Amino acid sequence: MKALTYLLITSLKNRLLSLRKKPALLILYIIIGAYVAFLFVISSKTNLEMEAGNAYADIRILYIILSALAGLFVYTSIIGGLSKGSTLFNMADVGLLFVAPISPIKILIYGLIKHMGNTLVASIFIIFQIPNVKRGFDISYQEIVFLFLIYTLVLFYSQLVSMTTYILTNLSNKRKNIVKSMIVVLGLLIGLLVFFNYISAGRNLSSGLYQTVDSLVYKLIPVVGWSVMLFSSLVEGNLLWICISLLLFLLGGLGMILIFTRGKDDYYEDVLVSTEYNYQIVQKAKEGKSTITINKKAKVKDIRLGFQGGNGPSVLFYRDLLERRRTSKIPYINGYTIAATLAAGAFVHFIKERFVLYSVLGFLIYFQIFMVNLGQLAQELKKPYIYLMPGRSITKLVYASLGNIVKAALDGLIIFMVAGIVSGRSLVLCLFLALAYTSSVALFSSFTILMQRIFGARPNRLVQGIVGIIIFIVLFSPGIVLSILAGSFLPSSLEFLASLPFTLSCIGVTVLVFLACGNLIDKAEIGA
Amino acid sequence: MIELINVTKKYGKLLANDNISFRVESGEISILAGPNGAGKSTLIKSIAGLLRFQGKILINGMENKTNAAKKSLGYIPETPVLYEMLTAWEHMEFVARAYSLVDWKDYAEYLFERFELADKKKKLGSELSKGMQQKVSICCGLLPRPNILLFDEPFVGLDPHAIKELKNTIVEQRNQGASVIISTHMLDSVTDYWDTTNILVKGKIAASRTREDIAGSNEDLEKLFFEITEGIKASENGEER
Repeated sequence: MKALTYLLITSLKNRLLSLRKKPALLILYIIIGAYVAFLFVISSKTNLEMEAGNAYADIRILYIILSALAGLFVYTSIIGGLSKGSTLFNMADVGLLFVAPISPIKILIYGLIKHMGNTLVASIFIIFQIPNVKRGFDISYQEIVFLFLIYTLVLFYSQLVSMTTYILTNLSNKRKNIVKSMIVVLGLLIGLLVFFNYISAGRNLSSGLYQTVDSLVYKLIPVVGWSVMLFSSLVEGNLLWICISLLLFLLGGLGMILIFTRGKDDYYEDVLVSTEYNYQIVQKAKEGKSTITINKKAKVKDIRLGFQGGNGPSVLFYRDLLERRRTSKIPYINGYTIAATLAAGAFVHFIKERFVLYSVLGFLIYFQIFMVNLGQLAQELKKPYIYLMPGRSITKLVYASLGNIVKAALDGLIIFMVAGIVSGRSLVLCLFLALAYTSSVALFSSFTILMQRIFGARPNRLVQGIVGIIIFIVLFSPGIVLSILAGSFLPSSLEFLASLPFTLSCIGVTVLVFLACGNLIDKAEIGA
Repeated sequence: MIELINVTKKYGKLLANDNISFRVESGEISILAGPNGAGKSTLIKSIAGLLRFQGKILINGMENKTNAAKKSLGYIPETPVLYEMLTAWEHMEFVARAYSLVDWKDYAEYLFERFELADKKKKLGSELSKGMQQKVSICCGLLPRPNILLFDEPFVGLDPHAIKELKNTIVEQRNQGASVIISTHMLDSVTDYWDTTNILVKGKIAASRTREDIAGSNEDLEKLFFEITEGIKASENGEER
């Protein structure tokens, strides 16, 4: 067996065998497998219900979603490629494979195969959307599988696009500007296409979008259009267009691979920077540390330097403020604020339900679950300073949480104001929702304290994860239940008060946890 | 033998290595010293074939990126990173396959014994401590019995026993005719056995010495390092004034 085959097979074998030592993980995989099977059963039942009378949504909505996702992936890949690029390799490949007497092309193929496997695994979550897709659109299981495969293909392709962008533009600002201009031109072209169809469809946005994704010009746009061409031709069973779209993907992929392997030089240096960069991110993520300093270098020259205040424990708040000023032009307002505001605006524009703003609140809180470990307090508890500085434990905890709460308040105001304006809801409702969001972030801080109090510095991550979910449900349930009850009993004129029980519950639980575990700093040990 | 001819490496506008030329003969240990950011790791990576550069790097007379050159080159990187899902022993097997080695097992066993890894054979890369990973990384570099060895900060993270074994190994390799380049800040770790040194400052060779050059004088490697680097700093400060 050759070295690369050995490496792939042995790694896969060991990954499976390592499950023997991790029975909890094995159980988790079994549960996920069972859940996926359950989803298939449920969705088949839903199918029957739908056939009984309700109408399916236009399949072109699915084309739009697929194409938007492809556009997002390709755009972020190109932007990533303009800075650090992307990589199919890890540091072990650099240290052991790149220096070995093996052809760079063979190593590239190994990287592509490995990455393809990882992408498939990473895409598994889309399977959880099966019931929604089946409920909403008239498509078969086979077509869902195609959708999953195209989604995976686009993800995989994005990696190639990112690498190619990096290789072509590396060290040349002129080329970077050309690529940036091309993105703008392509964006404008798509915009014009949509606008033209919008006008020709009698100024109907939905019809305009449908016409756009149906048009051949759009389908010929690399990746974004190709994915629609492939999926629509699979749904329609049009063999010719299936072949054409596959050929386009194939030629595009081969073209990019040719760029990697052109000339005398190999691509090692091109992937080295991004591999080292990814390694740092993975290491930091494994240690539960923030990757913000890796992702974005501080623009020290742009801002006023130094602390703006703080004495004793309050310096924790000002330190956080200083760091935020160095990573964002306007403190507390960052890419997340903008992305969440845009997403919320788009969501409320298309979904015209009574409680749509509450859904936005739900999504925002849901995202906090993934960000809780990156929060200011969680980071502070991993560093020695909070333990060493004089001051009351509870005061230190409050100041170490304050930055996140201020950010949540500002984020909440911006997001809900925009969502409120787009949906035409009252500003009082938006203020109450912003308050609910802020209080939920405060509750997340208390969750961090509680977790550290229960598990200490070096918890078993799996046990922590499972118990964490239970604690999370216990902490949030009272507020959610009370608010749902309030929402169903309150007249529409007082609808804005529906979030108040949730807010009060979050504040109450937060205060209780801070009081009960306020001595954490005196009792706990520094995090791993 | 390693030969660098006018090697220049740029990262955008940053000149990491500026027109560097030197040779490391067979049976010679050459130390690459210099302050942080001097361009040592960049140079080692260029020699290992990981970076593009202007100029020429010859390994036993062959261009460093050719397969023939790679077969005689062993590289031990600064950060040991192993495959998480390969055991320590499987790393040996992987390297043996990558370099098409035959009869490698006895030597791999010997290296594992020497670096106290024999009881860690079945441990996955992800289960090893950083020091253990560094030892496996060293064994991987030594397994193909290369006659060119590149060490980038090899002593960091090793326990005293491993440091002693590594020093002995390096000397043995030299005695068997290997050309060895060691980039290190831990100058006292190499002071007993270095043959030549190149001190890099801001991407350029600020000084080159052989052991014979400073034999009999009051100098040693550490003194020489401070003399060169601080001398440059002092003259720069003088110019600024």
